[in-house]
Amino acid sequence: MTPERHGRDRAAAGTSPGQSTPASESPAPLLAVRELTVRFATEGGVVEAVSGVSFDVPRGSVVGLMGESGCGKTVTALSIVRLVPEPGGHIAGGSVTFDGTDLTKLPERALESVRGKRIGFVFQDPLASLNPVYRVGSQIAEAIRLHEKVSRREARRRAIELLRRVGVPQPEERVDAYPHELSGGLRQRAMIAIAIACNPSLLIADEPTSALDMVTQRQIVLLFHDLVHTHGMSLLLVAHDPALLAELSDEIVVLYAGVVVERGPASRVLADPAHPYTQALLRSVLPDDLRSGKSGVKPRSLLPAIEGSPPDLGRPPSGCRFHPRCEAVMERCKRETPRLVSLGRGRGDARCFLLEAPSLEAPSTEVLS
Amino acid sequence: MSPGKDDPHDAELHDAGPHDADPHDADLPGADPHDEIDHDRSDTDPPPETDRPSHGSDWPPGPDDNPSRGSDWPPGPDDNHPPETGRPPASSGNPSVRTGALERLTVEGDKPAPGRTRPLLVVERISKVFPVRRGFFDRPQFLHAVEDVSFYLRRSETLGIVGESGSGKSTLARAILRLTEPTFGRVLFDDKDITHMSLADLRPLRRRMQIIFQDPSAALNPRMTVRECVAEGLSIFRMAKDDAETDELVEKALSLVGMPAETMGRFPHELSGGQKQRVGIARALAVKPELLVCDEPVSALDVSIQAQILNLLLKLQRDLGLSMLFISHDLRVIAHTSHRMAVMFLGRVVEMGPSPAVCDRRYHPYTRALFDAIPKLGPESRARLPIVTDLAAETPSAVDPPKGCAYVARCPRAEKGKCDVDLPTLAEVVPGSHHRVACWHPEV
Repeated sequence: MTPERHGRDRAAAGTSPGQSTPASESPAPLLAVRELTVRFATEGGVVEAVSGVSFDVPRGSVVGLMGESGCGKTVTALSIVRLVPEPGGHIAGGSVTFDGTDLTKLPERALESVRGKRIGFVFQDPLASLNPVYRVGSQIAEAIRLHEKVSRREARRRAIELLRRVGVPQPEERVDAYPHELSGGLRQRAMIAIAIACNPSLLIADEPTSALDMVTQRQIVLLFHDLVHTHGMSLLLVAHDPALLAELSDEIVVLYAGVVVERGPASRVLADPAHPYTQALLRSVLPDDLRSGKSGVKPRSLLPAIEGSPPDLGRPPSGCRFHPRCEAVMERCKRETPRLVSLGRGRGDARCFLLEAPSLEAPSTEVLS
Repeated sequence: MSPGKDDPHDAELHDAGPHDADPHDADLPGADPHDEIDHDRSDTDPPPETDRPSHGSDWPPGPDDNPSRGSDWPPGPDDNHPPETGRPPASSGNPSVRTGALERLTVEGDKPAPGRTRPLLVVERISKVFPVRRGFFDRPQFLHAVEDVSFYLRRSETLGIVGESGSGKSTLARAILRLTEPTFGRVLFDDKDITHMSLADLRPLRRRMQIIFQDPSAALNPRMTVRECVAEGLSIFRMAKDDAETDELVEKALSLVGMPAETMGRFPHELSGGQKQRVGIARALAVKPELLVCDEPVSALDVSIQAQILNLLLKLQRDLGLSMLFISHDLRVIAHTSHRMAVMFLGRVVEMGPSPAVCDRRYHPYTRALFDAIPKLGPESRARLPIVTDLAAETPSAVDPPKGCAYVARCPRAEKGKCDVDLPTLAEVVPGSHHRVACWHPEV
């Protein structure tokens, strides 16, 4: 499959990160996704699940990919290592540059040495991802022996070491456990052990805590924090919960209906969201300070929810894809597609006509491209 | 805060002791069903459901020598009135029952009970024990999923149950509805003991108690249209005389949950997650229940859809006066939806009280840990990350629960020789506050 360049409003090239890069002044990022477009052929016609998505994962940092189910965040993550679900799915355009190599052009054999070895994957449901008939240890050992020439004994020793590193108590015993014998949290730790078995430089975690309760979620968050800050891994964290992303992310990319609607430093996106969708999404998060009077939301009061549901990507809305649910919708939004507008140096960008209007007091809206 | 103790409603509830219904009760001193299972019968299949007589002589559980229940058991003579004969002398005044099991049934809450009616649901010392067998020749062991849980639920009230996975909160809900048979204890629904009722007698009551589940995709039959899903209950309980009336009732139920009538002909796979959950709620509401058990109703949904569904449930409760049992691992959800909440750990309630009081005081160290685990959106979010909490330690196994407080292994305040030996019972820290904690060293 030769990825054709998809001529959009900007020249999409992994080699010139310049303008479209959120952090253009920093050195070459570990991962640069440019104008990634993924389509699926379905009975009802072609569905474009991801439309021209661009973002970077700088070395040693955590980038959060935020959005609702069906917004294309999982497809984006899978496309990075060309694991788009077959049949029907294909990367229709764009590039994915990982450590200087465009993965969309790499032969399948070469890509196999990247998957699992240099890019590790953690999925939402560890029970579905682990093989139920093999012991956890042998699945970790398999991941090691797939990429490195080591003896079984050595692989087992390293499996125990990995289980210890991801915080599994009594790893010498747990290495021989079957997945069903472990709790949800321990299974997810085992999944992470497999993902980091070959010391990848990039870890992609797709909703790694959604199937876990809040206490276990916190433990996994702490583990990721440790992997990034002690072991220097980069992390692409895919999640729908802004609060989870807030805990770990340096940068946040907000996807809506397959399109990047906002991106920028996590502190700015969370504290001062620019796009009406990001604003509405953050408003709908339940208060986290539950002491009486500490949050603006009274218990048992109605929450500011975003009404409606995400659009059917087989028939995306005209103009801005968020316009049917947007509180600030204008006539223009229904006809024209907004561009990503810079919010000022180091603040990222957002895709909304409100930010393009020069009359607004938005700080120096320099328009890209 | 209401005067609680001299509330006649309160006193009534004190009467609802587990012994009351059974006159044989007094003949059975020391017959502790827990002991029986743990030791005497351990090499046969466990008795729970099969040889439990519906009103037999060893039922309900008699007084026992379990140290956890201590001197407050058996209850004083005043407590032996059947629940129907209200208003005896205030048993709560008896110091010997201050921390007792009956105390746990007292009306809590910082506002007058709506209409001073009797609670819709009273759960008395319910336990659920599952037999587990590692290998064929191994001695069977018992998993104590729910241990000695008591509470009540008023009409139009929401009680939240929060705890991590494995804390027994879903099993508790299922045992209350008899979707799984409770091993010990009993449940009164509208003053009727539903635990020992025949299934035929239970059936009409089932209409009045409905449940919605976490995963709407798994809860809806993929081969049924929305109309069929919602109409199923109507036909089981013969609530519609013909198809036209069924359509009308289905449409009404769908409109309650904000679904247009056009969706009636759709199949679940054509709906989004939020819409599926709405259909699940419509299905429950179609039969006009009084009690709605919500078992993690928003955990599988996106944040934006979560808010929609929570709003819907809050509105429905207000409009229809539903009583709700709301189960979630997410304290944010429980604190937002519930009038009162119970925190569960390893099958037991460790803290219970009016939600604002629990949120403000957090007596139990585990409650504190749960609050600490809430992910924060604000700028302090990342700063607190490197802090190592007590969460790292493992939860003890429910198959062989520890003798003392189950939280000991993870507790920063555990006292050796006390917490790991004696099981704390639920008791008020501040008398009259209706806020109870089961902890020897609550964080006051």
